[in-house]
Amino acid sequence: MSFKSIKDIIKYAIEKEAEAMNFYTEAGKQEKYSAGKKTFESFANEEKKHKTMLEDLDPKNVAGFNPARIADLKRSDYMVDITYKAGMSYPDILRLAMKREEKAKKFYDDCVGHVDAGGHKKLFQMLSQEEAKHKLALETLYDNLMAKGGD
Amino acid sequence: MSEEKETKAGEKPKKPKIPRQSMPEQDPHKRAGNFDSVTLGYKMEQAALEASRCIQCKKPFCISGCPVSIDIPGFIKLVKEKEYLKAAQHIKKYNLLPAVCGRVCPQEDQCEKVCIVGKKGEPVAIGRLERFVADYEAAHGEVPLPELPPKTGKKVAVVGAGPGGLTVAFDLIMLGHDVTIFEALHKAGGVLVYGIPEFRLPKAIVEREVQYLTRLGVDLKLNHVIGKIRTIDQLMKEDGFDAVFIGSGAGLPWFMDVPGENLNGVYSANEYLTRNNLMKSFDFPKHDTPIKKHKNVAVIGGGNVAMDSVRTALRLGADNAYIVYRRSRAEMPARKEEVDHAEHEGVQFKNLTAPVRVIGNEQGWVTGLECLKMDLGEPDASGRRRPVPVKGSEFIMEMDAVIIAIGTSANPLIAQTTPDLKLNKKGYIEVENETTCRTSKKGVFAGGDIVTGSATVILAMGAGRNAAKSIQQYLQTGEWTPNGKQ
Ligand SMILES: Cc1cc2nc3c(=O)[nH]c(=O)nc-3n(C[C@H](O)[C@H](O)[C@H](O)COP(=O)(O)OP(=O)(O)OC[C@H]3O[C@@H](n4cnc5c(N)ncnc54)[C@H](O)[C@@H]3O)c2cc1C
Ligand code: SF4
Repeated sequence: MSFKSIKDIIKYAIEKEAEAMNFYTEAGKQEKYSAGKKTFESFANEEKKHKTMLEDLDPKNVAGFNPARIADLKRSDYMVDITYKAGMSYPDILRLAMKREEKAKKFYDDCVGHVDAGGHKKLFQMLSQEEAKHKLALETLYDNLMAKGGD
Repeated sequence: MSEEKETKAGEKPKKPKIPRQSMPEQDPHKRAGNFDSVTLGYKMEQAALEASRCIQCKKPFCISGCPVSIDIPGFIKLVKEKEYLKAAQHIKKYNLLPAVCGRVCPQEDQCEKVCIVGKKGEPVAIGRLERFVADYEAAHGEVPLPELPPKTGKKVAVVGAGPGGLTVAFDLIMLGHDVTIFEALHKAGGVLVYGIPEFRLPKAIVEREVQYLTRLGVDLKLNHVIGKIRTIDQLMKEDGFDAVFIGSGAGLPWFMDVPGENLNGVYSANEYLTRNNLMKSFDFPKHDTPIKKHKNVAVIGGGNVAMDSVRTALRLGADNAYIVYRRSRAEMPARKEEVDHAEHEGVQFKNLTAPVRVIGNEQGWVTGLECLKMDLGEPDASGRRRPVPVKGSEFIMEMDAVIIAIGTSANPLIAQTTPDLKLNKKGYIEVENETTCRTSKKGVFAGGDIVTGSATVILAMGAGRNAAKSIQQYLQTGEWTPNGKQ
């Protein structure tokens, strides 16, 4: 994948968020029962917020970005890949979402290593950090749920 | 006024003169090889001595610590007066299954945690006294049947014969309604029979209580899976039930989703425990459902279910039975007593250890478990230190069975066949509140693990009691508006 400008990268990232939003919206529609429906709808809303944040991002602010340290619980990293199935359980839905964030973060991390321009690097770091935050939020939710069950 | 000098209850905690009476137990080495009860119960003199430690508080904290508000000082006073049968009957006004709760309730987090005597020493052993009086009653002949009121002509269906369902059935038959329990398995009792092992809760106790219910006239239909044989709608529209209580528990196991989890020799704790407790695999050839003998067994998790599984593995002859738990001992949700018992029996604890892969041979059988060492990370916003993997700490343990005990959720069958039943996002049945236990569907009530997720026996029984009151109100008035108000 080649990106010519910061704007290109932001456009791509917005598309990825839109794809995630659509994925969760569609999954929510396919769920016959209230439980899964609600969870997917809430994830679709989250992705919408991420998309809006990127749409509002001023490319001029990228240069001043300083990466922060985001904890990584690595709950999803050792799990097998999981695909959407109608009626999947709540922990499975969380796993599915965690895996998606893990992959998105990895994608941006790889991009950081493949670009030379400082601005591009910074932007990919910024995007990776956003995904890391989402991953942490989901993994914390998952970890709390599992801790109660004795995991 | 400091709490040391005088408590809100107005009692002055003094250092108790009589020490808390310890519970006789089977020797740990001996018991690790049999399925007999680990703890042996108080003798009469011990019970009287322990009862005399209670100072009969005017405002007893212990009652507020009990999820069903048992009159604890009331029953302990009767023990002190050696009125054991009366003591048992007194508890039964609040709790249908004292012999069960005396054994499995987490008293250390409930009544005993707040007992005033515990402020200056060890709390009164409320659970052990509860168990003593219930066992005394059982040992002294058949409990006479209470007089039943005239029949009301109303029919109630109870789905699931766990502690929640059994309590609803008891309370409603005592109000003159016809009660039918539909239970999916071939035995009634729910987790009490298929989950908690014999060495912690002898099955004869549960059978006795179930028989008491059938003697009272409760119709028990075993091997009846609701959602397959009949739906909730059919029960109400075609079979003439005026109300339904759903107490189907949370028996669907969770898995880790790590590679190798589908190898032979990997069990869910539910399957492993059910095969032992319900199918009596340990008693082969008397029961024709054996289980493979494993040498090295890893149980994943740190809750009661994990402790029950690992102690079962030891008793089935494992040379090494491990608990593999990703957090530290302080975070284990299992009762402390159960963790201590497991340790004394020889269970090996691998805490701060997370499995990442199950390894197998060409024939598809488990040969090992790859794990990572964990470290507690920095406190997060909630102040909690979560385990994070230590880089490069992978190691492999030789293993021929892996039992997964990391939690369960609701089986979706009833929800899938009852489309107008609202669930929360975790898949549990949504109720109006825990007092009315009303679901989104008129005439249908729910309680226990199917509403709260995996919790405790006493909470399921408390929910059953509340549901019975709410069902009674509905049957009498036919009202289905919030809180029964027009
Ligand atoms: C191994 C283990 C150890 C535990 N240890 C403790 C402990 O020490 N202390 C404690 O307080 N709690 C303990 N618990 C938790 C406790 O047992 C549960 O919280 C409690 O049993 C919940 O009661 P319930 O009536 O809601 O459901 P359950 O006991 O789960 O009973 C539900 C019943 O419904 C039946 N059922 C399900 N679906 C259908 C259907 N479609 N049709 C008909 N019947 C159906 C099931 O077969 C089952 O018999 C333990 C749990 C487990 C698994
Ligand atoms: S059990 Fe403890 S708190 Fe309860 S009445 Fe006795 S001394 Fe007081």
